[in-house]
Amino acid sequence: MVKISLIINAQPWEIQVEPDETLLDAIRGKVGLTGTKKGCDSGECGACTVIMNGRSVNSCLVLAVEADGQEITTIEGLSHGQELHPLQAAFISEGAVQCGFCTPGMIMSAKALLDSNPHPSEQQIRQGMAGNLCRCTGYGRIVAAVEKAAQLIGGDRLDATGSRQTGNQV
Amino acid sequence: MSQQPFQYEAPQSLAELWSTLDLGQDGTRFLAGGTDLLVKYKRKQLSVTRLVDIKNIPDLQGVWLDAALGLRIGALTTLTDLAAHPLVNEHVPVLAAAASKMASAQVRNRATVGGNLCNAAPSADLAPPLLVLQARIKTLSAAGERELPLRHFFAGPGLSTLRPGELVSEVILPLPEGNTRAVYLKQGLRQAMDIAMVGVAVKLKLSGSLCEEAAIALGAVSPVPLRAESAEQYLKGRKLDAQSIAEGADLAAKEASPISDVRASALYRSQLVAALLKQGLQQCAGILTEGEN
Ligand SMILES: Cc1cc2nc3c(=O)[nH]c(=O)nc-3n(C[C@H](O)[C@H](O)[C@H](O)COP(=O)(O)OP(=O)(O)OC[C@H]3O[C@@H](n4cnc5c(N)ncnc54)[C@H](O)[C@@H]3O)c2cc1C
Ligand code: FES
Ligand code: FES
Repeated sequence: MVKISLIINAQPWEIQVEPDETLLDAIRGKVGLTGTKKGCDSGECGACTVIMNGRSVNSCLVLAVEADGQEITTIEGLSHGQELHPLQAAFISEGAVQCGFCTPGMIMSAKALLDSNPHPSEQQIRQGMAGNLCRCTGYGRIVAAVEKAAQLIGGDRLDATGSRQTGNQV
Repeated sequence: MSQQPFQYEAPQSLAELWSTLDLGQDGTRFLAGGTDLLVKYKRKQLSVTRLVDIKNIPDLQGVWLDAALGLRIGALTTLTDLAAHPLVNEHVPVLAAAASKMASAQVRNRATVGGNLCNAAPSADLAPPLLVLQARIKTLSAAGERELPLRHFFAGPGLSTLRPGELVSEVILPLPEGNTRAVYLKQGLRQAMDIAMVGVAVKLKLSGSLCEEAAIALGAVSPVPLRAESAEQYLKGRKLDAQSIAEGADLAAKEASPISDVRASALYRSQLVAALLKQGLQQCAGILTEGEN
């Protein structure tokens, strides 16, 4: 066992891990945050997506020991108490959640995308989320939810002709 | 992960690496982004007794321009950084474009240039564009450094000519001359997140429609990524028209020695080589003529 210290959702943690334990298993098994899901365990499905030092990563392809000293955000870190993050609210209002297994990873990928590109085109959303598989929704509603969240976050509004105008950042 | 766990270390410098590296040990592996290594380890395709994480070593990082040598790309450069780097986009946009189409955002955030080459998959997407760009590989070991052309780096599927205990430290690219254009075309089963059934890189130096130099590299159609030399020689000095493009594409398809697997049959792969190369030649020629008129 090796001791590592890391910050998860703005909270410092010290945990003991095996050298070959993934960050995914450590987050779920040692820290007890089970919102991050294990699907394929090999980088293909995106269910395990978390944000490490500002970038989305597959936590099944990061060793816990590699995360020593790093800053991690998981799906549990997005809401403020009862107040949902705009992405969470938009996924609900757009009906982008069915079984929900892919949703935490989808939302973390969408967050990383919007953090680096606040007003992505539909094409950019589809490309940015290509590493997240959903077996239920057919993706249309997920794309719509990300577009809606971008508007909520960026203060976009639609003008009379339906084309998007960028408003003030909130 | 239920196997006998390995020992993990993360040296902070080359000096620390060389002083702790034990070459007598068979299962010593270097870890960069881990997107190939950890997948193989989990599938029990790779034994690891000692895992040496090289990500904290500053000598393997960065992208910079060297007046004498050209563009130097540190082995630890991630695919995300390669795709976004201003120097890469300015001097070798074909490489930035190739990187941006690989894998997924999450994988690109971890996967490195050095890892893509050292993993030595016949389908490695950076190999064909780097081969036409005449990349050189710089390596480091306790014994010193060496430099070799990328075409002498691959030795077979999953095999490179790296010696035990040797690291790739940089990829060095001579700056392409004016009037050259390059493209990389990849065909997978789906648009995103798929390894190439065939990858074709083309770089042409053109004067009007006359092809002064042609460099063509093929991925996923032979044990190692290779240059299609007979097609290159045929095209050199020729006017690019429908007939010479078709002939060049056929010659390249004959140089491929693809296998049949779950992704595609050998015959389909050969036909894809010709089709992609045709498209690549047309794109390079088209872009240039437009630019010059
Ligand atoms: C879901 C998924 C999708 C993918 N899609 C693509 C794709 O579209 N195209 C593609 O080409 N690849 C793809 N890959 C494969 C992989 O992501 C790339 O090959 C990547 O560039 C490997 O880099 P890495 O840093 O993760 O390598 P690692 O896994 O860290 O290392 C790979 C090998 O190289 C060795 N190594 C690494 N760096 C060095 C160095 N500097 N010196 C010496 N040895 C070194 C390691 O010991 C190991 O044997 C994909 C992988 C996954 C999981
Ligand atoms: S569980 Fe990590 S990508 Fe599928
Ligand atoms: S909602 Fe079921 S997998 Fe996406």
